[in-house]
Amino acid sequence: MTDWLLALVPTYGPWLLALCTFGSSLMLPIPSSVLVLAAGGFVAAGDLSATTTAGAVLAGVVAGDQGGFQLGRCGGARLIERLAAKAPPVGRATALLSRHGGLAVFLSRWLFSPLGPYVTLAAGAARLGWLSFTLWDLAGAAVWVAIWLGLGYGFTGNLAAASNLAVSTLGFIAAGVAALGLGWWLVATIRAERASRRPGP
Amino acid sequence: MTGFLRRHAALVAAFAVALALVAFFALRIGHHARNWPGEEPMAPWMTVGYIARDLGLDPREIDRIAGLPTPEEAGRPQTLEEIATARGVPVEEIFHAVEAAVRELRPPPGDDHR
Repeated sequence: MTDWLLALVPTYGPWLLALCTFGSSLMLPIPSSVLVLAAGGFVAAGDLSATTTAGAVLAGVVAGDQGGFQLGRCGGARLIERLAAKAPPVGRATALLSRHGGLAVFLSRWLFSPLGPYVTLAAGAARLGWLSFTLWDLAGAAVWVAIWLGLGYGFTGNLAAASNLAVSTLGFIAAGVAALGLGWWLVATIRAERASRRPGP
Repeated sequence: MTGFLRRHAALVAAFAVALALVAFFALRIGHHARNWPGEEPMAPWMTVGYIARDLGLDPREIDRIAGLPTPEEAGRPQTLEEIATARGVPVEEIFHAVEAAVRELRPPPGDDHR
């Protein structure tokens, strides 16, 4: 399917890219990052315009995310209320997301991109502010577009290798961030336990 | 220590998994860097511009030598498959024409007798 889609990139260019990134933002199984990578190669070759291509990809991602966010707002809020009544951690997680969800939206757009559509739905369900969501989403989507389009531009002719390298590098950063966060959590837990064991004055 | 590990088994396990993933991706990056491939093989979805950019050649020279339509003539950049379909020939025939043009424009290293 990827080769068939790739053949459509120089033919339908920005329209196809916008449609595919819109679909993958709504969890449809479309290899958007590979398409954007190839689009970077076609931009480098002079077959596609850089600004139109980047604009179309960004528009597709952001429009798809707006759809996911509204879906989360309409359908997810009620579901979360029901779950939170039975399981308090769900309520706490939702409250955390509504307060600090912007950063999660930003990072899930490019660093933890497989989680992107789910975080978008959760952000809508958790009633994260629309403007805050849109601005963080736009920033994250811009980073994602810059990474994949830029890699395609720089590594024309080695797209498969560039894609593997990008996935590994993003995986390394994501795992590193998770390890740092969990390490910090562990240290904080050890300290809290030691402090509680110390005899009071 | 054992008591702590038992009380926070999930947190410790998640930390260990994250560290293992850091090591895994670091090894993969090293592997990709060591085994960086040469040129990508020609594929039906590529345009002459794409191939030329990869090889550092002038795409219009390839078009001219291979007798392929330029994007201006075709109205837009065409993939090798589209060119083959328009001509009613197998895409391999277009591959051979492009490969011959590339050979003419960029002789292999052994052919350089300067």
